[in-house]
Amino acid sequence: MSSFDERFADHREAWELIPWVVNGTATEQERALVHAHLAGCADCTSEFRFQSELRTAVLGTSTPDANASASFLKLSTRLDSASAAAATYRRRFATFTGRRTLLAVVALEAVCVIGLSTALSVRGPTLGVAAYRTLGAGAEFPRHATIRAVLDPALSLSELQAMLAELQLQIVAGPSAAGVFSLAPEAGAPPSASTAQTVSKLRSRTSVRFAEPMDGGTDRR
Amino acid sequence: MQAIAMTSPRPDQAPFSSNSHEVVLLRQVAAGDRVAFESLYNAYFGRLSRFLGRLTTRREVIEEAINDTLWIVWQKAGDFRGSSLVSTWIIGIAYRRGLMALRRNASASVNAMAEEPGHEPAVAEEREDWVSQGLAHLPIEQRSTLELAYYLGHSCQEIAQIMDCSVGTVKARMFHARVKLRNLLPTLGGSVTGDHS
Repeated sequence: MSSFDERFADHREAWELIPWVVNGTATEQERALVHAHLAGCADCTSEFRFQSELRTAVLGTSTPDANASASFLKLSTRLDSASAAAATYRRRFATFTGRRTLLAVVALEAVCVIGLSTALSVRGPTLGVAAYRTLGAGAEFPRHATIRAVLDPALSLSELQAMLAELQLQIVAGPSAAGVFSLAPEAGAPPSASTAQTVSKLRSRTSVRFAEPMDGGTDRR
Repeated sequence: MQAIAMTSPRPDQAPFSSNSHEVVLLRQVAAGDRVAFESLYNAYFGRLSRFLGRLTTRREVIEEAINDTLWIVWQKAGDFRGSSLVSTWIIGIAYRRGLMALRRNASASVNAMAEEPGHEPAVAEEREDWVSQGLAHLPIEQRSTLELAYYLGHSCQEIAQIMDCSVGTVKARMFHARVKLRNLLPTLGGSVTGDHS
């Protein structure tokens, strides 16, 4: 680089740095560079003076009239409104969240109940019924039957009807392949005797060969 | 050659609060301290009024931009990590809010108030008036660069942060502003000192 080029490069750098030297933000090294250049450069000296004067003029220009207190009051009002709105939002969100959580729990319970019910209905025969049977028990006995009885085959229909009417019983199933009748109290009949008493009365009849309570002795009446 | 003062300490540091003090205030603001916030507001109100006054002369637009700026400061104080001066951060917010306010109020630009180049103001016009008019003829970016450097006393790097641009862009803006003012100021009212034109 020739000395002319070096001087031109210094001139460009110094000219560029002048505002930052003028406003006091240039580094020591930059200030030294500008200072050294100004000593031999009339143009940069003029520019430095112009920028210094310009800065003084800029600093001297007035600030627009304004009332900080009045402006701050407006901003404070805005902050208060925002705080109140935020508090309201938080309350509503909390309420909404609470309701939503409750709804979610209820919905989850419903789903579980439905799912469990479906599973039970699908697997019911194996889940709901014992996989074993007593000899006397049979799927053919209605659940509401209270007495099992085996009757004399010679018993006439009218005698059977009379006996059932007297004991307020009705045939709900049977006879089975083994000749067993399932008996239950007449629908709507007032409880006049316990199952044990009825069984006892049946057993006293000669036309009844066998009678026993369906639950093995537990009195249902 | 006439000797001229070479050093020019940042006179703006004296009237403006120190950065360390402002960092403390900002921490208090982040904790929701309204008293600290008011102190910060008052510390910046004049600076921002003046800076934004270079963008628009409409008082309500300036106030709107100031309150928008401090509103953001109130909300974001906790996010300030000290990677820049507090003033750089706040003035940067103000610059962007000022530009946004100007876009919403296009007729409020200082340029709209400036007289056309070539208009010769009265000789008795105050120096600050013709300097203000000279600045008003600069594009916003150049005008803001000069105001940030000469009134608020920011460095080239700080101005780059404030205006969210490169240091090279700041230098370019300052270069063009200086050239333009060199041409404008004699037209408006003679040279600043009367001896350099």
